[in-house]
Amino acid sequence: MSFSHLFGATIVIYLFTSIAYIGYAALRANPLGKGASLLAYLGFLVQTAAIIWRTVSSYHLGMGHAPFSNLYESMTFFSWCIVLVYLIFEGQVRKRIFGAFVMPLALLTSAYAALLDSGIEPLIPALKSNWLLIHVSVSFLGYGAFALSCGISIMYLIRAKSEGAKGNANPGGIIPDSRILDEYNYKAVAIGFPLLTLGILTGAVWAHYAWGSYWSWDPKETWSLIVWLIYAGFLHARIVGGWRGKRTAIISIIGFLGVIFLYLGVNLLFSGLHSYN
Amino acid sequence: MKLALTLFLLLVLSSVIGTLIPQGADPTLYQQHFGEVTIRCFEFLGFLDLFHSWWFISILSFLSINLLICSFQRLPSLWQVVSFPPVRLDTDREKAIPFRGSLFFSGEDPWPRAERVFRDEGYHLRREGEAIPLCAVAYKGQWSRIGPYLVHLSILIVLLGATIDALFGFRGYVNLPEKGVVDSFRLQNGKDWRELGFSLRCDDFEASYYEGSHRPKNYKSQLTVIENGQEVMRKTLMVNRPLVYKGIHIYQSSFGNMGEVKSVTLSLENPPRKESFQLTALVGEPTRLEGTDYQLQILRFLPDFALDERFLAFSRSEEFNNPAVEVEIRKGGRPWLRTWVFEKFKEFHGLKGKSEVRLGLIHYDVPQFTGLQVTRDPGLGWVWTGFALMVFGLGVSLLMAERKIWIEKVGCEGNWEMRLWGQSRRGEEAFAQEFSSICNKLQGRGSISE
Repeated sequence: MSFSHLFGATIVIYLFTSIAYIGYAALRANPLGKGASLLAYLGFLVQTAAIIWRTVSSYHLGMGHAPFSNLYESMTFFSWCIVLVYLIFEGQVRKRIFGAFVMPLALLTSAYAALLDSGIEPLIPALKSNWLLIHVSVSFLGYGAFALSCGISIMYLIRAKSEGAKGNANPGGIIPDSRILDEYNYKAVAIGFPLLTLGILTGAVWAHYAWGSYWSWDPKETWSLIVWLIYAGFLHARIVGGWRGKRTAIISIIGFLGVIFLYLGVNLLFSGLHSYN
Repeated sequence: MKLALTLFLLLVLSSVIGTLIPQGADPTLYQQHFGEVTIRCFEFLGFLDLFHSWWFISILSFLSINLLICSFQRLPSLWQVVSFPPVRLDTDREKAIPFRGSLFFSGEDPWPRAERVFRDEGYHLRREGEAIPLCAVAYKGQWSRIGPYLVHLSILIVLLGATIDALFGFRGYVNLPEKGVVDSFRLQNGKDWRELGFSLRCDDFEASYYEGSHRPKNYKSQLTVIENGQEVMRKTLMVNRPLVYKGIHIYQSSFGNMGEVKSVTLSLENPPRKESFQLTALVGEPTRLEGTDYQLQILRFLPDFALDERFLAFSRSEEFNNPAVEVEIRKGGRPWLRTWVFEKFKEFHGLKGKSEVRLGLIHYDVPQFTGLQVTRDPGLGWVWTGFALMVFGLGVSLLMAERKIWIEKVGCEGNWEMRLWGQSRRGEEAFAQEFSSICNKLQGRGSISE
């Protein structure tokens, strides 16, 4: 058995987890919800073990590094971050309905990763730095929080639509009040934003030590600024401008689309220092 | 506010354009992708070097001014509220306060105990008069409201540092040959040269590769800084570890091969006689094999050997994909063996098998240059300060929570009532616990430190 088996097991577990959460959402059966949570924890543990195992293996191969260096590794780490952020969130709010909207994202990312070339590659000299660990982990934790806020915003739009249609209390039943969803959306962004900021700043400091330029307007840096501005706009619109509800939900969703482009689009479409090609 | 959001939007849109259109690239690249007219439009609009265009810089300037003005407008009243929080709650606000309590006391005045309880929990107290009803407010975490202003200030500081760098700093590069010396470098635009102000010598350059591949594992240069004829500094320069001298930063950026392979090491084996030894020769120079009649000459070196349609040897590229040398051995002045020797194909010993001799290509030396980035960033201190302040400001904004509890004490000797209203700007669940804990302590349940 090797870590690649564990990664495969993770995908299967997340598949069942997503099904369980969606089943819980549709059927409102508590046992399904509890089972889904347990599966999520199990999947998270297995994935953590797989990542650690892979890292240790890389050291045994003489090219030891944190598992962030190519598309496969960063994609699996991204899905790990989504699950981590989600489990912390579920523990805080104790509502399992969110799982139906967030765990599928974790499933998608880890399953997509399985299609990618997964060999352990040695690091090019530019990546041999302690900054790799902190820059990448902080950025992806931020992405995870934004994934959560996107899931919550989608829930908000669904709920607001059903509230509008029936105009009555308790239309969605299991989906919380739109006011609560709005609040959670804000909180998830309030977690993601400083993480993203730290990601950008550590990236800039590292760039200075590696290439002599803390900001060179390359596509990755520029897009991270774009995403940062979108969420900064969210915070200002909400805190200072008093925006709520549908408008902020849409900004969250646009922001997360930006995150996807920032992570994948930039690396795959543009050549440059962050390219995976 | 609306202005700020509009400026954000403009920044976002321009930045998107700046990533979709390659910036500052070779003109031929644009000609490949866009038509003549489109290129003219882009040039006119400044899209080809967007981030340094006058209008982009204007957007940044407007944002900075907006930040400054908004902060100046809001900060004084904020300072007032933070330093002297209002003791009384007006009725509109009172309705919105989430946490409430009504506590009854018989016996003596609960106020002294209340003071101790609040102080214990880290609150400051501010009260109005001694009269009854006694109104007071307990507050803590006020400074978290300054947080956003610190973040804004940090942005201004970063922009200031960046402006200083843009005006007074530079970015450039230079290729320094191994064993060579440079004292100037080329600016990023590729056109102008500038003096370093000192000389830089590369004593040695070394690149190591991952097993069996051309992927660099590590590369480093031994550099010496020479000023006024004196060697003032020595450093092993590696990626991520720059050399800094007199405010100029030098980075190990790349490396490459210069010119042609000069020196080659071959192995010679004579199986019948079981002799084998190694020989290093320069390309093009004949070498006599000691104590024999044989003379060896390396005719040429090809980094990427291939045969063309006429079966003549040529090099497919500059990459060392298939290194090979053409070797000629003469015996007594007459041609005796001529063959190609390949690094990758050790079994190949020449078409005309003179099986007495086996040749192997062991090593070849190609002079290299080390690619250095040269930069100067006088505003760097400001930029780092701005970054640190930004992190601090975000931490203060998001990790500290401003909490307030309004207190109204009514009643008389033996019969007191204390009403409480509590709110927290963040972390309401934790505050809920704190609030009920305070209520318990006020009523004498639970201990407080004296």
